[in-house]
Amino acid sequence: MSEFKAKLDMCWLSKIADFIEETAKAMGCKDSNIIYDLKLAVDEASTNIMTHGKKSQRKDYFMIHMTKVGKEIEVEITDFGKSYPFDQVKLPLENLPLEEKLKNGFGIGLIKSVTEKAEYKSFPDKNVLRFYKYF
Amino acid sequence: MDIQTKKAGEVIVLEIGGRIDAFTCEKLESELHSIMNAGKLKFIVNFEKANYISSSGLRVFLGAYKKLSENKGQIKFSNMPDPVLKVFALAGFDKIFEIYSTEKEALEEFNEKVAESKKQNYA
Repeated sequence: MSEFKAKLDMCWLSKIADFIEETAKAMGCKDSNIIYDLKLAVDEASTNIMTHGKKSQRKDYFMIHMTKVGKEIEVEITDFGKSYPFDQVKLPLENLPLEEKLKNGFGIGLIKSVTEKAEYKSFPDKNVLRFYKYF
Repeated sequence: MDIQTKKAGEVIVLEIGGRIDAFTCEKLESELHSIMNAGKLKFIVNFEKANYISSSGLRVFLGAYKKLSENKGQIKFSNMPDPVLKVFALAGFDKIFEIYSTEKEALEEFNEKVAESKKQNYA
């Protein structure tokens, strides 16, 4: 398992992407499209935490864990702020006008679109987003 | 992210390199607004050197598209790497935006419209 402690600052997004790419490659994933999907999902989740949940965060960082199970990579992102309505975003989003789509959890929709399975759990002291990608 | 700007007649070509994410998109938005505020209304965004876009980048292009549409301007896209095109498609942007394989094709489309407009004016 690899872990990354990310600051709640947008300038960390590229460092997070580097961590995801390097770790995925080290885990044996060589497909650039799969690595792109992983980076996109983590980037969207990180951006949500840094923007919508930033004021409520009880710590000045959030954690990213990556684990390889067979030919699957599991990514777990833990933050310590207010939860967001992950399960309320349903796919597909095609029936919404473009502008509305981008307002209504489009980032969450992207996470669900590019991963095999994504689940979100909120606890009194933290929120945990976990998703999976086969390679 | 790196932005190179060049002129091709009335058209402004933006060559974007690197990542377009929530951090870098402010620079992109600022550049687009600055050029639009100077009265330029025809854009081609060349993605050849771009390697990443997130929903934050899409929001910037949607905003530019809306502002340009209100002012009879246009924005076209070219040279999109497959992963970038995939994000556009997931958003449904590939159905509303004009996306060309090459910058030359996008520019020719602008020039054909100018020629058609001149023909109509002479008629």
